[in-house]
Amino acid sequence: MIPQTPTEVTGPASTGSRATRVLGLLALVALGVLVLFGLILSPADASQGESVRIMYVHVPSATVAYIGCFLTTLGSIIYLWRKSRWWELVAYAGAEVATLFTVITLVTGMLWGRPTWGVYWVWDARLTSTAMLLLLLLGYLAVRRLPADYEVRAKRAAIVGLLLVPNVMIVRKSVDWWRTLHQKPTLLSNGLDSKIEGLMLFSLFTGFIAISLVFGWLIVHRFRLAWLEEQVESEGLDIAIAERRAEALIGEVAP
Amino acid sequence: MELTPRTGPDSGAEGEALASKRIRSKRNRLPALAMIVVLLVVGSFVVVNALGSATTFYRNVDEAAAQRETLGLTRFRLQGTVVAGSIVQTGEGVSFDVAYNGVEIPVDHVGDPPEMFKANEAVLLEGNFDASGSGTFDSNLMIIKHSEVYKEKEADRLQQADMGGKVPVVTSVPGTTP
Repeated sequence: MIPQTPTEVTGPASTGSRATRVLGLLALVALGVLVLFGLILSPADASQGESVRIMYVHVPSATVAYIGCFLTTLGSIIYLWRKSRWWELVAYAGAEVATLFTVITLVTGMLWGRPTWGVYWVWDARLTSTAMLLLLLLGYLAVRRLPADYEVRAKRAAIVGLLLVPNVMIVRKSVDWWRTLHQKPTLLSNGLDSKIEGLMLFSLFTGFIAISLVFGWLIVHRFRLAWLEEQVESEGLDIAIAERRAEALIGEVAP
Repeated sequence: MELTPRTGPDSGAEGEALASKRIRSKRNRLPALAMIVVLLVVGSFVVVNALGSATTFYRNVDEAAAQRETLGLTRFRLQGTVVAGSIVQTGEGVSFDVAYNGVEIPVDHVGDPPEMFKANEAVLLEGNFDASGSGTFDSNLMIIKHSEVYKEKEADRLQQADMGGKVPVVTSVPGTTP
């Protein structure tokens, strides 16, 4: 049996390409615009004061973390169904980047919570379910690293990966389903205009653009790195198998 | 890279062993799957229960007032809006009234309130009803409950200037007007 290797499917030859260099540049420019609007041009909040600026990173970070989780669950489903290594690596990249942005969400949220609520943390439904999401992501990454054959590790991780989107849905709806300290969504609700004012909304918008570009850049690079690692490993395996075949043939008469 | 054996006279036997192992692993898959399903069911039950207890993360003022008898000296979180003009500094903290859905409860808070504490803001108070039966809520932990509304500070000032410098009373939280 010849093991299926990623070389059978065309993939990236390096982590960088012209497209991703442009993407990286755009991300840097967008981050600059975000700093300009988030820290300088946008006004302080009438009741929170300056700490409202944390929102311009907190909300987009949470959103891209959800997208990362979605990629992981999608990749996990396709891997379990089609045994596609490409999608398994997409799932892996999604989980790692989602972990990063979930941590950013929790840290920025805590830094905002202390001056606004008066506490860093409470065990309300939104915060608890987000902490659960982080644990699940760490669980995914841990399970994928448990020493075993690639197929075994990928399968175990994919099963954990299936739980991510349901958890994200719980996080999203927690503020509607249960009483929480965390406020309800400002965006994607009725009467947006009355809930957040012009320049603050625009700053949040630049936050979404900048963080999404950074997220995209990270996903592409993490995926390519994982792909190349995979290739190095399977190439090493091919060489080792070829060596052993050659050795075995020496003592045998060809049929 | 671990690939043993390099040359195997007994590779045939090894192959058979591998094949039987594969069959065995297929037979072992059912209990493993069942185990995963059981874990998922138990896990989600625990999660829903844990989050479900968050439904009583706080009680609104009107609910707490209605349940005062049964609550007794039980510690719980009380949610309401600080009534304007009711804030009085006390020796060990601050006392004020909280309102929700037209019901008010007097509060005796021990400790420094958070910086954001002010009239017409929603607060969460952790504590219990006074043992004396006066209906006062003794609190020693205060959390400001921020709404999902964001307003520009400058715009607020302009609005105030338009009104001749008079500060308008903003009642954006429902239930502040009795």
